[in-house]
Amino acid sequence: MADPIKLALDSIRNMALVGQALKLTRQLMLAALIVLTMPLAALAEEDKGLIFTSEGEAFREAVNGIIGDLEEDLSFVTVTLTKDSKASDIAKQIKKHQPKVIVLIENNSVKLYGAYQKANPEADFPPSVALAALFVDRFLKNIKNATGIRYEIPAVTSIVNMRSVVSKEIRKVGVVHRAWMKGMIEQNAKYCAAEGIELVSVSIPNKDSKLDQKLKSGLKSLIDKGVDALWVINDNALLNGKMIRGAWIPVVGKAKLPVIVGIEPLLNTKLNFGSFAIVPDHYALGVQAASIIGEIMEEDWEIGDRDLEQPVSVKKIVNTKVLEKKKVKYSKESLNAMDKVVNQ
Amino acid sequence: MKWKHFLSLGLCSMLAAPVMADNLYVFVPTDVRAKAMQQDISSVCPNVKVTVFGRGKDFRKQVKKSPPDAILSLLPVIDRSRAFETVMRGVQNGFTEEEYVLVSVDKALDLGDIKSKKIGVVDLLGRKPMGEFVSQLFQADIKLKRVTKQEDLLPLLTFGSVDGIFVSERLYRQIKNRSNLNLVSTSLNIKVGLVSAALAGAGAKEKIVDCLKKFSEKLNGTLGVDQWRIL
Repeated sequence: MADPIKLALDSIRNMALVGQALKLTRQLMLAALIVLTMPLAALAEEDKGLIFTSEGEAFREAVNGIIGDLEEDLSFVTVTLTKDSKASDIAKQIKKHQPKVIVLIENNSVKLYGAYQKANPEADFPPSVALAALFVDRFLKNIKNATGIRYEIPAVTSIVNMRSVVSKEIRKVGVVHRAWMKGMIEQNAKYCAAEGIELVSVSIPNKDSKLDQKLKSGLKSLIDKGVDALWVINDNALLNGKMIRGAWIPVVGKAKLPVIVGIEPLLNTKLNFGSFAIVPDHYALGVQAASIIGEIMEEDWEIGDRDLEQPVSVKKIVNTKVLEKKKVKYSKESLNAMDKVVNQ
Repeated sequence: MKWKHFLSLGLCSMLAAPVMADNLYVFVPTDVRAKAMQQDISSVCPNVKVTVFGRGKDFRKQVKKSPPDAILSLLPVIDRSRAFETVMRGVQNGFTEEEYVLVSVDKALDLGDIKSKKIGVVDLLGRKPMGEFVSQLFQADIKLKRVTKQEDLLPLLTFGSVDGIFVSERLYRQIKNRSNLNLVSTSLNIKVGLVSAALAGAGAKEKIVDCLKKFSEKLNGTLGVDQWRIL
């Protein structure tokens, strides 16, 4: 029988969470490129977009969303990067295709493109749109003529979706976060306040030899403050095996509260941990990016002063078994608005 | 006597062969997931092969690739699918159309300034046709932000990605029930046709009419109608 914690951890790793995203920077100089291109002759005279993406079903969905939405307006060339790809590979593709717009999917593409800009400061940089990249704002600061969509699902989106299912009133939602996420939590608290939800946060150190104990006491203090639900951030420092076994499950397992997580494996009934998983809808994320590209196209390929966008579309998964175990009442009728219902 | 054997064999084969079901494609943006709606419709229409699409893009692609016998969608979608003729109109409170409004946060939108605003809509028709459709309704060029799902309209307002959203009054009430934002509506005097059924040929009419007549009150409510009118 597979260990549910191991399954959850594997998934967290596969999600290329923060730690992985940062590690990729060091892998910039390792190279190789898999190129999937459309027939060049057919595109010779057309405006072209160039998509840099990583391998993976979710990213393919995002690519499909972009290409599908803009198929009558713009041709795209899709280049799949690997961890061995280099900034010089980006340069070759740009020189070859002369794109009007560049799409950067996943952190590796964003970082390689940033390195390409740094190595070619005199080049003209077409507008670029980044998506499906964790904490993308940190990286886009150093990229010229770029915009994008955040990957992290805002708390308000997750909570409003959960609120439509659970019968009890949701007024206070608790979250434990590491100190460096303070800005993001404040922004989330603002969005939540507009929806009449108080986001109660507990900050713990970025690094600490007893981080699991800090997390545990943070969670306990939130429960003591009478929160109606918990929101779990996708931070791999807080979601590794030690943390899940030592802090989350001992505290959250006992609490009669709905818990919102950001990845589906944490909904595993055996864990008795997450009851709702609110995850990105990658196809819709692609369509959202296509909408930005459409606007840039209409503005004669100018990005202007547009801000990073929040993701607007999510997939909703609920574990009714965990809700029942925790004696959290829910509306059975509203389950038909869920993308998936886990009930065993 | 051999021919008699062949005749009986032929008759038996015809009787044993499955009756070819008529295909019905459904694309109606609602909060109910496509899979759940497909189960609901299929359970009341066992003689019809029902496929429900959650995204307009997939619906249009499949209609082109493998045209169905009938489609069930909002009237603007049917109007664009020229190969289909409307045979049944959904009715709500006695009307086959419903009022649309602009919904914004805190402050109603000034219609005199509508050209400078960004408006969120559920994508029914695709990028350009949707732009043309909405601009025609407003008699002005409107900057649109399209979303694939009805539920994605609220986040557009929450995050200030748009100045307002263009929705039916019915959907406005649903969004208001779901959200605590200070939502306000601006009346427009714009009406859009409700869900209707259309056929590619006359063949499937009886079966499709029977199917829609069997829809439960709940299913009709999800589709935004309370009865059906045969044309």
